[in-house]
Amino acid sequence: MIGTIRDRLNDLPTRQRWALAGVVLLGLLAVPQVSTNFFVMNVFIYAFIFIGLGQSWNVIGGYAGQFSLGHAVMFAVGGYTTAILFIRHGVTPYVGIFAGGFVAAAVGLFLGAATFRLRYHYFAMATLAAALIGKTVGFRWEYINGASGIEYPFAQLGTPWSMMFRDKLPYFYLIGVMALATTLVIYRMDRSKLGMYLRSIDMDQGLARNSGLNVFNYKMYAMGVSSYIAGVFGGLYAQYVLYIDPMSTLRVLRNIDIIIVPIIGGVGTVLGPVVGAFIFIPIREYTRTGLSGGYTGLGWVVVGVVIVLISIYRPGGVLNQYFGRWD
Amino acid sequence: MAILDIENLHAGYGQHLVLKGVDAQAEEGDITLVMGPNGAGKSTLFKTIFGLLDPSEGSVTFHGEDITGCTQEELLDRGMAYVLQRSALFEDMTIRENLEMGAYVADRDYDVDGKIEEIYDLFPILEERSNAKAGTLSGGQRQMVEFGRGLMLDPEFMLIDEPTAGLAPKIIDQVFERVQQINETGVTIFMIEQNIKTGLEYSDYAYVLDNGATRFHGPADTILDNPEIRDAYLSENVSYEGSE
Repeated sequence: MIGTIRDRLNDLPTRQRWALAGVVLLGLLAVPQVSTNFFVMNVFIYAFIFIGLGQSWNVIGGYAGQFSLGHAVMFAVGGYTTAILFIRHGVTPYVGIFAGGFVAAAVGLFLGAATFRLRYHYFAMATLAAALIGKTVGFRWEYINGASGIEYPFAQLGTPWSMMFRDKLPYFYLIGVMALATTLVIYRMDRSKLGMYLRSIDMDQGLARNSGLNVFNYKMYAMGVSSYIAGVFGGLYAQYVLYIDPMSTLRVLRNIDIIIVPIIGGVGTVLGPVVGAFIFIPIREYTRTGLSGGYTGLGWVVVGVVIVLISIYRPGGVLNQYFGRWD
Repeated sequence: MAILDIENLHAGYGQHLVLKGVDAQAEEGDITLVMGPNGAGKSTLFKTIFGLLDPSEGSVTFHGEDITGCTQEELLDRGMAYVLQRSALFEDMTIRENLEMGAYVADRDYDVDGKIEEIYDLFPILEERSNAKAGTLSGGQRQMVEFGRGLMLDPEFMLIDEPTAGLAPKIIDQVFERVQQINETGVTIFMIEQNIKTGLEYSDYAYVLDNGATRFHGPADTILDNPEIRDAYLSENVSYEGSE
């Protein structure tokens, strides 16, 4: 019976999943013991940032099923807020990243209020429009220095409360812990009634409404949480790169980067963005450097091939078929 | 006493009026059947009762109170449930989760687990398969989950839109028996059905809608005595059994 096989799968792997998660976590902590190589650290830190962004997108795009193509806007808003608060107003980024999260959430809620009446590809198109508007604003707005972006004052490198580190190691731990914390929050959500209600909207919005759910409010809630996370990781990104400009945060492809992570790893699953980030970022970073010069751009071909293979052999992402939902 | 009272109801989609003056009542404890040809406005009537469409004229009262303009949450709170026509389940959720979704508007201290146990007592097959995804169920089992979800909040009144739609003929009787079972627990039923003959056997009262208005109504066991209805809904070469 399909039922019993499914039940057995559901029973068994829970412990195994936890064991796996523990092993992976210990392995990650041990990475700097093995190598503090600049490049390796960089790959991990980017992977952590993209775990956060993938989790962020997964809340609204995976669980609630609203396919946002504009998440780079919230990422950029968080980054710019953190940078401007610190550089122009002296607010420590340890506060600034969370402030950036709140500003990003406000932008996300505005975007949600404007677009949640739309469904399916119309919603995706509206968020793509938001991405394009965000990009234009980013390049033209003088307050944020337009296309030239905002540089961090290097004189403050290594000073306390600046969150500007000379080495990669503190970033590795800081952003790694943030990615882990975000994943645990999503895990709690996944298991809670809230996760079930968001999934119900994804599965059948009309039926969810019939069950009494205020669908619009739940989407707004999901958008707020999602945007907040994207904003926080935008702040962490700015602190890591020590420079923020519209090209790196608001270009249209950035929106796609964010979506690729859960799509590779598993849409609407807790560990999907983690797996996706550790597949996507190494491919991106290694092909970008390894295939530079005459082969620039070939990395995207590799990513494209991976996506095609996943679509064929693991529709829904690497984790979706093996593990089902984490429950 | 009528638990539901519909008066001169007009409603539709945008400019297009589908209901053009429906009058109907549901007596407490009854199974009331709503029948009529395709496009008569049966489903539109149910959607309007459940607040999914706004009436342009007329009223719906439930327990003597006007419920037009109420949200689904308010209606569920007042003891109304709505079982949709199309096979309406959250496919990727388990049976149990589907039932839990039915109790969404319940208070925090509502005994959801206890209610699920009651529903398992009513439909034991659901307990056996409680962790199966709804998408793996047969048509009859899906129907049970839908009824179960509708019962989660202990409704007094249940709107059921074509419970036998798309089901194999041999389980149609089972479905009506389940409706009757639910009715016997004290739930007033207001039901759309296309299987008129079988549906009437299980009903107390019937309304015939045509072109958005109430055309006939009467006790279920006499409605087919009307030659016009017989002509309209039963082809002559089908022998009719069940009239008295």
